[in-house]
Amino acid sequence: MNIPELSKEFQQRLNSIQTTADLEELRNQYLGRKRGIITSLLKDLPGLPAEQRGSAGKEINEFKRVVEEAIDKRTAELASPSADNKIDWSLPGKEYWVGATHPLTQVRRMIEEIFREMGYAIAEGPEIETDFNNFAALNFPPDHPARDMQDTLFVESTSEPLMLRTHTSPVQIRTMLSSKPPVRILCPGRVYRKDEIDATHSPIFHQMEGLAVDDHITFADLKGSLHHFAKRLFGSEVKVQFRPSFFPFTEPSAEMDCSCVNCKGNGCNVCKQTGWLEILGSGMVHPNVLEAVGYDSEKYSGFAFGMGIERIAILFYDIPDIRLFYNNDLRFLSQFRVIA
Amino acid sequence: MKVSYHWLEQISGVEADLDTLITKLTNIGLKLEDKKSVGNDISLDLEITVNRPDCLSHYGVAREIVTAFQLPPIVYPEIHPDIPIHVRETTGNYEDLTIILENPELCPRYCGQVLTNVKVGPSPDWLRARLDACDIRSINNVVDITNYVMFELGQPLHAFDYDKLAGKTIRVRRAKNEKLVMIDGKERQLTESMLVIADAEKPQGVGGVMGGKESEVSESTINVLLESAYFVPSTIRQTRKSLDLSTDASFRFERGVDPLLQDVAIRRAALLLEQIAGAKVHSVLDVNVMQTKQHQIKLRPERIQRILGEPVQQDFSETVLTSLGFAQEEKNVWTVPSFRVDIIREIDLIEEIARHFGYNNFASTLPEGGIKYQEDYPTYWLERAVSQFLQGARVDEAVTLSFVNQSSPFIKPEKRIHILNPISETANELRNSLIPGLLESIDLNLRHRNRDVRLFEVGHTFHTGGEKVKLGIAVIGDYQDLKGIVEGTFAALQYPTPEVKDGKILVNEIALGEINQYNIEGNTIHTGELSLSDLLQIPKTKTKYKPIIPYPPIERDLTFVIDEQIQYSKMEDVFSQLAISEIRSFKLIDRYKGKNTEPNKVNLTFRIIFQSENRTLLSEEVDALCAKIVTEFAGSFGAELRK
Repeated sequence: MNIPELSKEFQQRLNSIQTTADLEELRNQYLGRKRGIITSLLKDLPGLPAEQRGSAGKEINEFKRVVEEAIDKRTAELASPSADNKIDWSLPGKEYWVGATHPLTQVRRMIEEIFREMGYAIAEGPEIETDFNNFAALNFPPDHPARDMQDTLFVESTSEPLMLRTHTSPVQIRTMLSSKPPVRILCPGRVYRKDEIDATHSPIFHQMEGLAVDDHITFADLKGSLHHFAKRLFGSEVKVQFRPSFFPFTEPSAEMDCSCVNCKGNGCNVCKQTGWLEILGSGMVHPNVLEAVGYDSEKYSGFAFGMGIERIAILFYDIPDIRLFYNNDLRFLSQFRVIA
Repeated sequence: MKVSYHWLEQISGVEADLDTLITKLTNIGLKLEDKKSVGNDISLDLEITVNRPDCLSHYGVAREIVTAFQLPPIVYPEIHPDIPIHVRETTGNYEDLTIILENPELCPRYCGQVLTNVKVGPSPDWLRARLDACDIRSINNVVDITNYVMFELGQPLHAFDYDKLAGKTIRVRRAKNEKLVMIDGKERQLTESMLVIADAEKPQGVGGVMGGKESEVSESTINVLLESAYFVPSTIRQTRKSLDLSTDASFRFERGVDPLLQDVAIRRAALLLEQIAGAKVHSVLDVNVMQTKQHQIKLRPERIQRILGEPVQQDFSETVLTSLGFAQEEKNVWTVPSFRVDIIREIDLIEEIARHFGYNNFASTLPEGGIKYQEDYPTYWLERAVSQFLQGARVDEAVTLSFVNQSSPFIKPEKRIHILNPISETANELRNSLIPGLLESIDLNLRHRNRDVRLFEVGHTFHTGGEKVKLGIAVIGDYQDLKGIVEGTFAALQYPTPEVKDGKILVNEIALGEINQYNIEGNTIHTGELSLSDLLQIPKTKTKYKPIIPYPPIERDLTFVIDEQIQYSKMEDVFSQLAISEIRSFKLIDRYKGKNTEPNKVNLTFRIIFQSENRTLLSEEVDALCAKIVTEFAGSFGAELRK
């Protein structure tokens, strides 16, 4: 056994190796569990005279350590690019991208996911509606000024008058007419008002409404559910306040304001220095509405809420003109090539 | 509505500073929109919801303030103490004045009062200051007093130059086909749906909206007829809409004024006219067929907790309702004051209590109860999957409006749903396809020199049989780009690969949509449209694991020189007729026509993958199979293999 000889031979062989496969072969020859050179040396140790065993063992183990280290080092060298094939790290990457998710869809999905977690199903309905579904069942008396809050576009019809829905609340009516409580639904969709288009108005926009009806729902539940929603949408620190308001289909009715996402409530241009942003309208479902769909208004109660998707998107992305949503200018859309 | 801060302070006796007052008003539902200094006063612009006409006056707002701050009840203003009131039904006269209600179903109450020797002139400073804070222009003392009383009590009044009224007669009737020049100087055509205040001969005003120019009070007026009436809200709303004329009076009447206030308001104005304009006050003629009954509501304390989620002290509820003007007849039975036209049911009383309790003082909880089985709407997950696939395919999502742009070159002359009252005549129909909107978007992008455009939209289209949820795709690119996107969509949604025949997209012979080609400024655009609603009726393919073949595939590229008239589907047929079980797949990877290709010929390169399920194929076997394909192509199409 001549360790210096063996060591020299190992170095020569190691230096000639160019592939990981050859290196693996070399490792096997020296360190293989059955016939490895070093393994055999160690196996033969017990056959040596007792006085040589100690120093020989030391010498073999030292050689083993050197071989292991050298092979590991060479393994790492082979895995890295060779020195004469230097990469220009500053070269541009090839372009890969995902098609844009329209900002209105992004906001819609965010809201949907929050309410899906709370057990809401997603419902929708036609955009052309009857007076019953759009107004009468929602406690808008005929010729009441409340109808002017939602100036209506009518469409041709051979039977009863038909209109383009002014809110997605008819979906709530359709759902309640076709199913018994409990109900928890979220209704996203397109709505229409007789409004000229300008930077802040559009005759067509998108709403998200929700409805929960059960035999125990209270105004406190409305507050809790909507505060939870606000926290999931704007972050857990967001504060909310509720103000009395009026919608024909809810009583009591409430507007929910959130502390301004831009200035954290200190006052800025976005919140017109108030520290608060109007986010949604809500209220306890009016007993007249429950009765219009055949629910027992003594037994059941519920809350409903609604918000404009454009408004939230405008806040989220700082969009100055509502018309940008509908032009599909790639200079706009390409900014939304992200996974929402 | 703009109100005077000082006036509110004076009526309510509130001593809180302005910010505290504003916060309180917001918390009870009277939100401040804006505020500004006007002279020594502050003008507060309050948002009054349409259900609260009682708050369209300083007394109404003050009533809310005294309730919110738990102050003593408001004291009504001084009215003329000793004017006789002569009550008549439908028709009445007193002294020389005659009042006739021809349509009591539209105007059930009309109080008229004659004032003589009126000294018309400018208003005193205090009165002008109050009106300034309410953003009302001062005209003269008579008109200003009518406005002042309207802002004070909520009852709109009108003053006529009595000497201009033919026959000293007021005839409240439906308009005929007649015209009237109104106080704003504009002549308007009146129709039968409107109510006019006429004299013995002709209209002198549109009831509840605006008076006529001719009988307007002016510097030369000596005798005045004051009008204080009740008009049925719906008739005022219709008139206001058809005239497109909204005034402070119509605003209040169409929301509903207090039906018991007319005589009070007229006597208040009479007192001020006596004091300020030195008028001699005559009797009030009150022609009145109004049926007003006191309306009572039972309020169950347990119901308050059931709805609000928290008990409210009985004392608190009673104090609030009493302060707001409700009267408790017997335990928990409340009489609604005449000015609260919005209070109909128990729930309305609960809202009053909740408002004054403070919405922010209620607990916040989450609803109890487990999750009920509910399904999302039918195309919901289809829509999500479509978007995910197309975004992965680098197609951008678009949103276009549902109106058809009649000036667009991309619309076809088809039957579409008409809008009866469109915003503009170019947008008077609803879309039956998503494609024209997408093409317009492509056009816009081309104008901005963006030639790499791929758009899709999911949305409703409108048809005589109902609505559909459709997917529209439009790309600047060739047919194969678009077809690949369509086929990929089907595969991603787990539907069988569709056939495309004459532009129609078919599965099992059911037409689900179509593919079309357009040209915009020399750019070829391909569009595909698919009805997701119709796709629901197609059964989905089931994803099932197939064993992985352990034997190696062999790949061969064959390039044929072939007549360019031959349809690709014929070549596909050849492959299937050959029925070579070792062909795992074949794909057209290149279609080339260049300088060196023969006329009417094209070079087609197929990449064919051979693989056996049970053994390793030999190179010679694959060569033999390729030879079979070459022979077949030569026989069927006269195609030659390009070496």
